[in-house]
Amino acid sequence: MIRLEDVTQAYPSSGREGRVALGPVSLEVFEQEFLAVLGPSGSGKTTLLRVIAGLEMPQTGRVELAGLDVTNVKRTPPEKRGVGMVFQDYALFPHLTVWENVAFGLSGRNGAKRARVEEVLELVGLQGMGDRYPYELSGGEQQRVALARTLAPNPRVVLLDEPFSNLDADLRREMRSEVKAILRKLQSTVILVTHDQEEAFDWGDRMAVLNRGRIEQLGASEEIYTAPATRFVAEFIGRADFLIGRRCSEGIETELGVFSLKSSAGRVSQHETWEILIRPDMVEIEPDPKGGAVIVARRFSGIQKLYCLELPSGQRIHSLQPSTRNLPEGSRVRLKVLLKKAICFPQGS
Amino acid sequence: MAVSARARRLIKRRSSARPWGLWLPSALIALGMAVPLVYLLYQASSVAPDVWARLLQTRVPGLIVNTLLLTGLVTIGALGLGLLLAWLVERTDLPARKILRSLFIAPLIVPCYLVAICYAAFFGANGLLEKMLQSFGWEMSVPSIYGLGGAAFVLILATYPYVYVIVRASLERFDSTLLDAARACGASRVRAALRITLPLLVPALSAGGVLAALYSLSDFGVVTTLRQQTFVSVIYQQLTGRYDPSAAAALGALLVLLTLLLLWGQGRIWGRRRFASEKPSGRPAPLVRLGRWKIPALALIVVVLIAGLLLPLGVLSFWLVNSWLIPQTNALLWGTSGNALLNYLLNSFTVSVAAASLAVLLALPLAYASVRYRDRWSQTWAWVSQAGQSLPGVLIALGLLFVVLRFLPGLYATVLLVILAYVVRFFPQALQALGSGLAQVPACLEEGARLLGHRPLSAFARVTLPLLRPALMGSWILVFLSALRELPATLLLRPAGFDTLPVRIWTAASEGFYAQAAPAALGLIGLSIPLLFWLHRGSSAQGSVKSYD
Repeated sequence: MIRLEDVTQAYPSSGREGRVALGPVSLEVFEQEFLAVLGPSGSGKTTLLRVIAGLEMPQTGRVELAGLDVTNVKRTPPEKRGVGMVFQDYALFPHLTVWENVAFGLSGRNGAKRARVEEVLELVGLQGMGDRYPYELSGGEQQRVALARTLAPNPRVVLLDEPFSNLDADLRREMRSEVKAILRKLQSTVILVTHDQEEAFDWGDRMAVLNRGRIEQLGASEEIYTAPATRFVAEFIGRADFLIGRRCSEGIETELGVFSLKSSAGRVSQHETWEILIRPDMVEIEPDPKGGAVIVARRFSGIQKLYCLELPSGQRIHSLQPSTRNLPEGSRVRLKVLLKKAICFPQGS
Repeated sequence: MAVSARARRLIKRRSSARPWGLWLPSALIALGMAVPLVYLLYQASSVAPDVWARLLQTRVPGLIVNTLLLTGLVTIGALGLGLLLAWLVERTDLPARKILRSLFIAPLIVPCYLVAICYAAFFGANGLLEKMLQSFGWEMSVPSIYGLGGAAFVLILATYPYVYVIVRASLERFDSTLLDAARACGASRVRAALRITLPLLVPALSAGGVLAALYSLSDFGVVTTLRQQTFVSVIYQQLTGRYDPSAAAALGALLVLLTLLLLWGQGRIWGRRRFASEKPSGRPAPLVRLGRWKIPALALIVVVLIAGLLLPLGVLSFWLVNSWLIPQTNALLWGTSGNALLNYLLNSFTVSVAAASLAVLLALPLAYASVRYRDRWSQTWAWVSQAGQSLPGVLIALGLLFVVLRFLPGLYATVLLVILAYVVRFFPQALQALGSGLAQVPACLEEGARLLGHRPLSAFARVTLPLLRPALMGSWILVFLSALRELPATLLLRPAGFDTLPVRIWTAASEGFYAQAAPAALGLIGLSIPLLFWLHRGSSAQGSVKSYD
C-alpha cells in the first residue's frame, strides 16, 4: 500500500549544509496493516509522515501509494493523495464548528454530505455535538473530532502523528483502544508515530524503530524486544544493561560465565570485546553470603522491585523481582542469567 | 548531520519547486519599498565633493551635536519616566492603579506636533500664560519653551508611553519565583531588584529606548515648532526654503547613517545572554508599600498627566471656544467654501483609506512568505521592505521626490504620490502586524485543509484568511491611523490646494491662526481615540486563535 525506497529529506537551513531529517529510508506498509513508528524526538518520525502525506518533497528516493509513484509533490499534491492525517495538536479549525470541521473535506451534494458527517460523528461517539466550537470541547473530544474529520473523506491511508500525547495517561489508554477499534473496523491502513513504547507495543502489527532519520529495526513488537538488531534498539526499548565480555572459542566469556552466541560466529571473530544485552527480567537472584554480587540499591514500583547489583568488577546490572520478595540493601547474592542465546554487539558500535 | 555534496545539489534543485506565484510578487514589493531609500543614498553619493566639504565644515558638526543631544536627552528621559510609571502601576500599592494604567498611554492620542503647537502658544512670548499672569496683574517672565530644553521636554512626553507599554508588559509576564529564588539565596529586596528584575527588563528597556531615540531622530513637528535645529528640520528647510536638493540628499544620507548606527548598537547590547524565562509567570509578585512616598508619586503622576494631556487639550478647547466666538473664523471653518473643515477631513480620509488598504494588500504576500517559508530569501525580502521603518518621514518624502522627478515626473505633486509615501513609510507596520498575526495561525491548519482535499489557495482562503481577520483589521487601522496623522511627507509632497487635517492645523498654527487650527486638531484627536482604543484592546486579546489548546 505504501512503499518508500531510499527516501531522504533534508530541511533547508540557513547554514551551508542542510540538516538531514530523514533517510535514506526504505519501508513497505501492507494493505490494512497497522504500523507503529517509534523513536526519540528528532529522529524523523514526523518527517516520515509528512513525506507520505506530500507535505514535504523528498530530495532523493521514491514514494509509492497503492502502486502509484507520488514522489513529486507538484504532480500529486497532498490534496490528491487520499491520505488522512491526525496532527499532534489536532489542528482543528478554531473558527469552524465541529460539524463544519468534519464536513471540511467533503464535497458534493448537501444531503450526502450531511449524512456522511452524521455517520462519522456517530462512529467516534460525538453525535449531537456538531454545533460546538473546538474550544468548547475537552481534550478527548477534540481528539475524536480530529479523527472524525480525517476519516470523513474515506482516506486510503491514515497517518497518526503522536495523536494521544496531549491526553493524560488514563484517557490515553482508553482513546487508543477505541481509535484502534474504529480503524480496524474501517479496514484502514494506518501508521502511528509515537515516542511512547507502551503505545507502540500495543498498537501495531509491526513496529519500526527510527533513530537519526534511519530505520534501525522493523518487525513484530516482541521480536524487537527480545532480539534487537542494534545496540540503539536494545537500549531504547525496555531496560537494558550491557555486560562486557571477550571472544573465546565457545562464545563470549564474561565474569558471569560463557555465553553461546545467537549471531553468526563469522561476525564475532572480527571483534575482540563484546557487549551482551542483559534485561532485568532475565536476571535471577538468590541470597548467598558467599555470592559475588552486592545489592547496592532497590526501587519499589508497586507489583515489582528493581534491584541494582554490583558485580566484582564494579559493573552494575539490574534484576526485576516480584515485590513479595524482600532482599535488604547491602546483602550478597548469587545471580544467574536466564539466557539461551546471547544477544551481543561489538563494543563501541 | 551533514549532507553530501550530491544531496545538497539535489536539495537545491528540488527546492527550486517554489511557489513562484508567491515568490515573484514578494520580491517585487520588497524591492519597490526600498527604492526611495536606495535612490536617496545614490543621490547623496553623486553630490559634488565641494558641497560635501562645505557642509562638513559648516553645518554638520553643529547638527550632529544638536541632534545627538536631543536624542540622548529624550531617550534617557523617556526611559526613566516610562520605567518609573510602569513600576508604580505594576509593583506598588499606588491607589487607582487600574485607571492610571490606561491613562498613562492617553498622551498618544495627541500627535506630538499638536502638543508642541500648544506649548508654543501657551508658554511662548505673548502666549496664553503671559496673558493670564498679566490679567492677574503679575509681571513675570516665563522661562523660554524654545530650544533644546523645550523640545526635549515635549518629546519625552510623546515617547515615554512607548517605553511604559513595553516595560509594563514585561513586568506583567515577569516570573516572580525568580525574585523568591534570589531572596532565598540571601539577596536583599533592593539587591534582588537590581540584580534580577532590572537585568531582565533590559530587552524591554532597550526596545523602548530605541523607539524613543528613533522617534526623536525623525521628529519634524516638535523641533520645527520649538525651533531646535536637527537634521530633519534642516533637511526640510533645504527643500522648502532655499531649495538645495543636493545638500538635502547629503544630510539625508548622514541621517540614515546615524539611524543605522543606533539600530546596530541595539543589537550589540543583547549579546549572547537570554532574558526570557521560559516558564509562564505563576504567582504575582508582592506589591511594594509606598508609605510616605505615595504623595510625591501621586504628584509626579498629576504633573505628567497635566503636561502630556490636559494642557494641550485645554489649550485646544480654549481656542475652539474662541473660534465659535469669532464670526469670521466660524464661517470660514463651518461654511461650504473650499476651505471648510469637512473638506480637509474628506481629503485626510481618502488618502488614509487608500494608503491603509494598499499597504495591507501589499504586505500580505510578503508576510505569508516570510512566516511560512522561513528561508533566507523570504527573510531578506522582509528585511529589505522594512527599509522605510525607523527612517524619518522627511527622508521617505525626499527619496520618493528624487525618484519621481527623475523617472516619473507625471506623478509629481499628485495625490497618488502622497499615498505612495504613506505606503512606503508605514508598510513595515502593516508587515509586522500581519506577520505576528500569521505566526499565531499554526501552519498545520493549512496542511490539514490540504490533506482534506483543498488546493493551496482554497486552503488559504477558507482557513487562514478567516483566522487572520483580526490581524488584517489591526494592521489596516494601524496604517490608517498613522497616515491620518502624518505631517512632514504630506507637507512636502501634496499637490497645491490639497490639504489634509494635519496640514491644515500646521499651516494655520504657523501663521498664528490658532482658533482656525483648534477644530481640526480636536477632530483629529476625536478620530484617533476609538481607533487607538481598538488597537489597544486588540493587542491584549491576541492569542485567542489558539486559546482552545
